[in-house]
Amino acid sequence: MAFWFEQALNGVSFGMLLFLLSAGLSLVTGLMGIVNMAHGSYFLWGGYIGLTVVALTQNFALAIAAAAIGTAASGAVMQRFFLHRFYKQDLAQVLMTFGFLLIFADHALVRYGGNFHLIAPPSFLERSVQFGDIIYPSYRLFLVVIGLLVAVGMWVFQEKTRMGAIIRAGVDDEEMLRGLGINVPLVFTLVFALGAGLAGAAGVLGGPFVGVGPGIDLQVLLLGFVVLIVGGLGSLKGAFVGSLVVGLLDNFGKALFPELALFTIFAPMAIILAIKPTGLFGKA
Amino acid sequence: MKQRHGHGLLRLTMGITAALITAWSVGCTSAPTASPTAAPAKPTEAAKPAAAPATSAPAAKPAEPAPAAKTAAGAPIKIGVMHSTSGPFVFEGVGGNEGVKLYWDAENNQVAGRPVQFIFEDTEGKPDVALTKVRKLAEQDQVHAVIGPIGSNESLAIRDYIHGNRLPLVLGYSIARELTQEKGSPYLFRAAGSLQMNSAGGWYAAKKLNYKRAIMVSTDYAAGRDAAALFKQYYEEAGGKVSSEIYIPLGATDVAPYITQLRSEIANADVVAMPLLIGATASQFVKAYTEFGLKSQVPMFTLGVSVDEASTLPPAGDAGLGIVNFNDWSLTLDLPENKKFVEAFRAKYQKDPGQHHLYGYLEGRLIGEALKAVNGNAEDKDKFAEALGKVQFESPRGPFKLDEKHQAIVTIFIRRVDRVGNQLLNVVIDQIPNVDQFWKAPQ
Repeated sequence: MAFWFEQALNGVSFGMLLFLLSAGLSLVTGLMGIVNMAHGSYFLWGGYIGLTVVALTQNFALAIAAAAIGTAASGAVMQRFFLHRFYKQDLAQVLMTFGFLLIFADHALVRYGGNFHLIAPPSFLERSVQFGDIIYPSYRLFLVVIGLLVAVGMWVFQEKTRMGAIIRAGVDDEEMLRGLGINVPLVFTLVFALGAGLAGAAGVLGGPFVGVGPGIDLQVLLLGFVVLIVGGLGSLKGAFVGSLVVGLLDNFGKALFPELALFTIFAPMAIILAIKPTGLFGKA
Repeated sequence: MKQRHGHGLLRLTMGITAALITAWSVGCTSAPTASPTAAPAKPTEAAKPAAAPATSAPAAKPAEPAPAAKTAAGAPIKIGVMHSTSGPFVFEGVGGNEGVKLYWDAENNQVAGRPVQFIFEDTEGKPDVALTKVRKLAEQDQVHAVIGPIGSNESLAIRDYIHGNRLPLVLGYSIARELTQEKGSPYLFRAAGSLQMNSAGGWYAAKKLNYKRAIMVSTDYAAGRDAAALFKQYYEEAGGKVSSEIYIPLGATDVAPYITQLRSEIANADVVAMPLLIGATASQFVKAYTEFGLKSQVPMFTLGVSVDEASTLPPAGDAGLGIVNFNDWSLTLDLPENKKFVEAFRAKYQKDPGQHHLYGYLEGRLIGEALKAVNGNAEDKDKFAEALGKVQFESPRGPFKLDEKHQAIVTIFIRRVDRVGNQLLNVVIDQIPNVDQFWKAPQ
């Protein structure tokens, strides 16, 4: 019993991290049709920026803010001055983001070297809490709380604000949005920046247990794509539910079928593609 | 009018560019590529234009001088170094190059009156690239020996080529057992301990540490499973019982499911043994083991690579304190040769050496000592290979010696992570001498 509860906690806490990573990816892909191969690089660079800030200031919150701002700015520049030139040319945009992936990865290697790092969380979260027989790191519980707060915040943003309505409209029908006189290129840049900033923040939040190091960008990118396929494109609800599904199934899969550990990520993806190819909440 | 002008300019630009590329590639084929640590991508880029002029040597064995040919006095000896400076083994590769240079720069890059030139190549950790690079080094650069790739998969990929071409290959990182057993060769040498460390480790856990039951946690790939099988064999022969085995795949982003799995089984264990848990996963696992409260219940006993001061220990931090582990070297090892090595490394690089630097140093030194023994005659491949097999010297980890299959015989040091001043260091608390790849446990 305790075993299932603990695995569920693992799955949910990891799922929250996946949500922060893939919320932006889902919106960007749904709104702009760009499959951003460099999305994992925001996670990676967010982690490295956070690592540097924590080393200098021991301030975790500042690290998250710095990483989010840094990656958001980088995302805005990338979209506005590079990707937007290939508007409506999906393949060209994907190839370009792949180029950025390689550049970001190589630059990180030159700047930070090949070592792996785990970011020190704030000291009040370094302890573990006990329920019954289980001792559980409080940081992962904190991550669940943060994930829920961000999810609620983004829901409010999407449902209750004008900007949110614009984004929802853009995902549904971009031509009509232009017709209404909305500055759609600006919306694109802002959404791209938002997605990148969230991924950068996720990189710092994942820093204490997923870590920062070469190869993390590709690992999380893969997870992000799986969430995208399971949850559907352009939907925050899809990103949230998809992340939880992937997190839980992956956890239980690894624990119950260790020989198939490499496939547990792809099992939910394969099932969804067979039953509902647009994802759980994707636009049809 | 405008169009013709445009075309002329274009042709001029292309002509100049072509001339520059040709001049650069000619320059590149004559000079060895520079230090790889500064610019990891450069060796690959320099190699490409050099490959364009078609090689006249056929793909088969290169022509060799008769064994009695005299050593060209002053002609350079060329050594290829295939440490990857990108990909999964970038850490070991870059460190390995630093280790090689530590030895050879101190020797002024010469031996027996001949200069020694190094050609560094990046294999990217990929077996196919490794094969391409070794061919290039052998056929284009005409190297006399190769310091091997890092990954076992890469080394296995080039083994047949070096054996067929009688090109001496010195390895320091590839731990696959076969390389000095079924796939051994008179031309293949391994300067560092292989999986044999787990034979002594398994025996020690049962006989000396008296752990009756163990759960093994290892990495889920060929070497990780081989290491676990070896540990289990010696552990159970010495009276222990492995109650369960957990294998974590390479690049697992989150280790929590495995920790929780371990918790459900830990009542059946006196120790959690890690025969080969490497890299990021090792740091994550050691840290989570404490965070999830398991460390206070059951101790860990691991291969030293999981709590290495230069790589896996710093991210885990205090979670590593007190962990007993086994390895073929330690930074704090109190031997005169080790003190010299550590001082020299600190002076040259302003940081402490890790074991991945030591292995590069041993690779470089093995070649250096063999070249001294044959008086610089690197052209006589068989004599050179014979000398490589016979090299003995006092190394930073104790006496250096290879067995008949060219596998290094090492002393296994039992260490514990202690706080020394404000650092976490592995302090040596015991040792098992003369552990070779066919080690028999004492009765």
